[in-house]
Amino acid sequence: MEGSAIRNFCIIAHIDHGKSTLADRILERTGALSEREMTEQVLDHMDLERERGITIKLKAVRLEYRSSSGSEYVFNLIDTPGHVDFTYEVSRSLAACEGALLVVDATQGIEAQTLANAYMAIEHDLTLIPVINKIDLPSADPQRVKQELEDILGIDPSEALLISAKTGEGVSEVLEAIAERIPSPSGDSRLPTKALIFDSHFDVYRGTIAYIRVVDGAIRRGMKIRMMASGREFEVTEVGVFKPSMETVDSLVAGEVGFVAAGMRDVKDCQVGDTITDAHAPAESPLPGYRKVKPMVFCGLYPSENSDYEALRQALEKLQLNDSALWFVPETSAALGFGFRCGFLGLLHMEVVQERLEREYDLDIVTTAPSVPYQIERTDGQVEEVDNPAKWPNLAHVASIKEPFMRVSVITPKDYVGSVMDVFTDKRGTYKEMQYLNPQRVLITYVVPLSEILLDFFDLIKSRTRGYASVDYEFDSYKESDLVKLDVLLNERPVDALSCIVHRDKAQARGRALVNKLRKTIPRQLFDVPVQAAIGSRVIARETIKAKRKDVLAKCYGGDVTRKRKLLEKQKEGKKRMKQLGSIEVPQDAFMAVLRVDDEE
Amino acid sequence: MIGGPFSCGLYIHIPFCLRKCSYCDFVSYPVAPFDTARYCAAVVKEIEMALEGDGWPEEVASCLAGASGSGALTPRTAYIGGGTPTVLPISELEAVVTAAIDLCGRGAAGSGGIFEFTVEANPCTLSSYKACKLRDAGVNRISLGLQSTSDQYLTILGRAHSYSEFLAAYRSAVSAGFSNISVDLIYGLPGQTREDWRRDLQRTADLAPQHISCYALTLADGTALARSVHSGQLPQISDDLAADMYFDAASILSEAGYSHYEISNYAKPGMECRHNQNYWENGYYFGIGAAAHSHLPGMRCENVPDVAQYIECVEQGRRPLANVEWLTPEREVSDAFILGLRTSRGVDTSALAKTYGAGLVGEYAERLEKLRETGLVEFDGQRVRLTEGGMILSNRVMMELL
Repeated sequence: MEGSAIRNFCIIAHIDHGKSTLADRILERTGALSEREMTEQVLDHMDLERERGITIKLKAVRLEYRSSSGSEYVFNLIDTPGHVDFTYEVSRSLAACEGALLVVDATQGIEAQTLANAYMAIEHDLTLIPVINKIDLPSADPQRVKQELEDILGIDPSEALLISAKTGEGVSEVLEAIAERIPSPSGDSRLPTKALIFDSHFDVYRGTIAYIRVVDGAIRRGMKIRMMASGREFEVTEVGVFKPSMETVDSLVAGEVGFVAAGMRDVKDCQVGDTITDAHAPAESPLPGYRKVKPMVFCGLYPSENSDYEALRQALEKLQLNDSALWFVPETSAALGFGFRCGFLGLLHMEVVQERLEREYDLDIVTTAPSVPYQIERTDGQVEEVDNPAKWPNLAHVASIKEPFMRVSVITPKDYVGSVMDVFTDKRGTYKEMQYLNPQRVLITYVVPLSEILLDFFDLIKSRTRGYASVDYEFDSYKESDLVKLDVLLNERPVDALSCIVHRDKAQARGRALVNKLRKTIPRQLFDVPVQAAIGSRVIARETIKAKRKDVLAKCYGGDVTRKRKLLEKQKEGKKRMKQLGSIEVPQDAFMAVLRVDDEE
Repeated sequence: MIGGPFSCGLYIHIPFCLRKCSYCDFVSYPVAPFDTARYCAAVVKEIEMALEGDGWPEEVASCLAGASGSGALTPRTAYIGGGTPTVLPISELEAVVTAAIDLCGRGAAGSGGIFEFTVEANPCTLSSYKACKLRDAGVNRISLGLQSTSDQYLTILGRAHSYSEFLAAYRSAVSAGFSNISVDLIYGLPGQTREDWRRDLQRTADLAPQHISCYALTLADGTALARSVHSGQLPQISDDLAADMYFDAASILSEAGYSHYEISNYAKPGMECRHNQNYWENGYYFGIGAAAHSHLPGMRCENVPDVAQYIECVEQGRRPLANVEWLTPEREVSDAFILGLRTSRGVDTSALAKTYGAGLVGEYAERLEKLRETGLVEFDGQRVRLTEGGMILSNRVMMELL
């Protein structure tokens, strides 16, 4: 393929601004799929993604396009994950492109992730094509959106294309603009090979399939390649492109996008962001930007039935094959038995994994409240990272404790500025800046501890702004905080899986809210059960779950025997789903109560 | 007094009411559009078919064939329930009673026929005339649904009668010669206070019927009352208050000379309901009429609930079965526990072992011992029973014995 005819691009947008619909239209118009073959939104192919309207794993598709002037082009459309947890993956996809379609909803205007994505694309020197979508809606205001693009991102309003991905209006102009405005790739196929891995998936027969953008040189079947970060070497068994089904080609040369299979059996062999080079004629230095993905949110995952432990381990291993960001090690809880400590990129990533375990692997799991990794410096100077409240050290030997802080941006209508700032203050946020995007909308930035974001930050922002605000965040830094471990005791006995780390100033309120929540979540037992929150040996809050006094079927005569039996069976089923802590039955969602303590305030 | 095992009962279901009560989830229909005479004729025919073994599976049929010898499946108690049996024209109800007595007596050579015959009555459908006719036909026990002595709660329950109408019906029954009368009460009503309930109990005890049933209100899904409570039109009912009321009943009625012989039932000495005791002893019974259930050797079964379908089946000489459940010995033992534990006598484990095998019954020993530690269950020689406090938490026990 002539490099000058290649256009590598991606589509970036805030959630629900129409990225996937536009991708569908582009696939249709370029004949990659007939309308009949088109299931809605082909690029998001996991059920879960479709249900949540987000794209978790990206994909790449090679399309053929003949422009209005009759020139032939090859378009490589690289889809990007649409959620803030996957920022690193997005950045690697962008690094594989020369241009990006920046899709903005004509009824909503610029939102937090529009900005975050646009800034990232500008950082990668991509050519931006602004696309204002949903112009068919009555409330569309493309003029206002053009103004925002100009004021906030410095984009010439005359460059904006007005389209409706739903009706197809303006999509032809988008295709022309891709051909005309996005530069062709600039790599040199005579230089030593450098190819960027921007995603991967696991295939049982072929091993890990790396999705690559060849920057310089070429990759051929039979060639010996080296992963520059890991140093591992493999022989290429297959090279190909996605059209969108996988098609084998002889080679991929500088500028091209496709896939490589090389008998890679371990996810660690093929890390997103790594550079592939020719083992016999290696490049001097890898492509910039590689980093090891680091989990920021941790929780315990336990099988409801102890006998499912092995099944849970196998399911996690399988998920990990396609998700190198998922981390897990075995752990044991006095309350919950054998399970795993799992690390995730963020809350959404965690929820997706939990749902897939339950849905695709049919596992019933108990999840403990998520925690963040704390950096603890001991008095002897040693620093360790603790991601599990159960492993919290004795403070006598601790010099300092640091927790991760995020830089959080919220875009909100100006009427809610006060409410948003209240939420930030309540969440221990530090004010950074405030900027009017236009007279109606404001961008507010704070630095906030990640542990506070895990609690109920998004729900609060949503409810206090009636859903009009959008949020984006990125890691800022580790900072010192005055943190303590809050223990929970049921019937005078500590329950390790309910412990959490809180700021000292908030311990009292959290402890009270937590025991109150547990009192409501844990059903009444046959005896009074005291619920206590304690810091060390000091009890800071106490509630009592009063004993159950009535649990009876008042009538049971000849006609009722079978029916009453069924009622008892149903009740027994409910009881079986509870975790038995000593003589107390605790429902599984009690372990998440730590997270939801603020629900009713 | 007639003692011994109550091996078989006859239940007849009359699925008609003047109107449905707000809390009721039993099978009953407004009586107006139905040909009740034809229904009663079908009932009589079904009793005959059932007792003669027509259409039963082999196992049941052979038991019935041998009945003249053993009498194992000859009903000794009968109970006409509903719905509201007394909504029927008295001649039709009389005919059903007479046929039941004749048919059961006929098959029971030397065994004495039915000795307890109960008819459920609704206060506003029991006149002195009807009461006398029933007495003459051979009915010797009347069960009157009072539910509350306060007209305010009777309205909430959707009952068609007032407290004074109940008193009139009660007097009618007494003057007709009934000396075994049961009165039903319900507690835990929306808004009901303990004082309200204690007055209900005291007034009823002062009437001194032979038998009193006290039911904790159950809000069954789909009933008008459940909807009113869930929508907030009526106040929620507190379990703690209902538990207090349960203990109020136990103390006030025992003070008045009643023994608490089943979770919801109280009787003067010797006046326990034999027919119901047979259910709780996991005994056999024939269920006659639409939606009626039977328990017979190796099976439990259920008649079709639809009246027209029921009549059609019986008139064509077919058993009107909707559903048959075959019982394993394991299931029989489990049923024997969950039913028997409802009563103050409890379960005789050695008798159970004799019937179903020591192995099956022995499997419960460990669970029962664990339950004993909770204080809900007590042992007394070979008998296992619920404690007074265990009765109102009985689901906790029975769940473990399924």
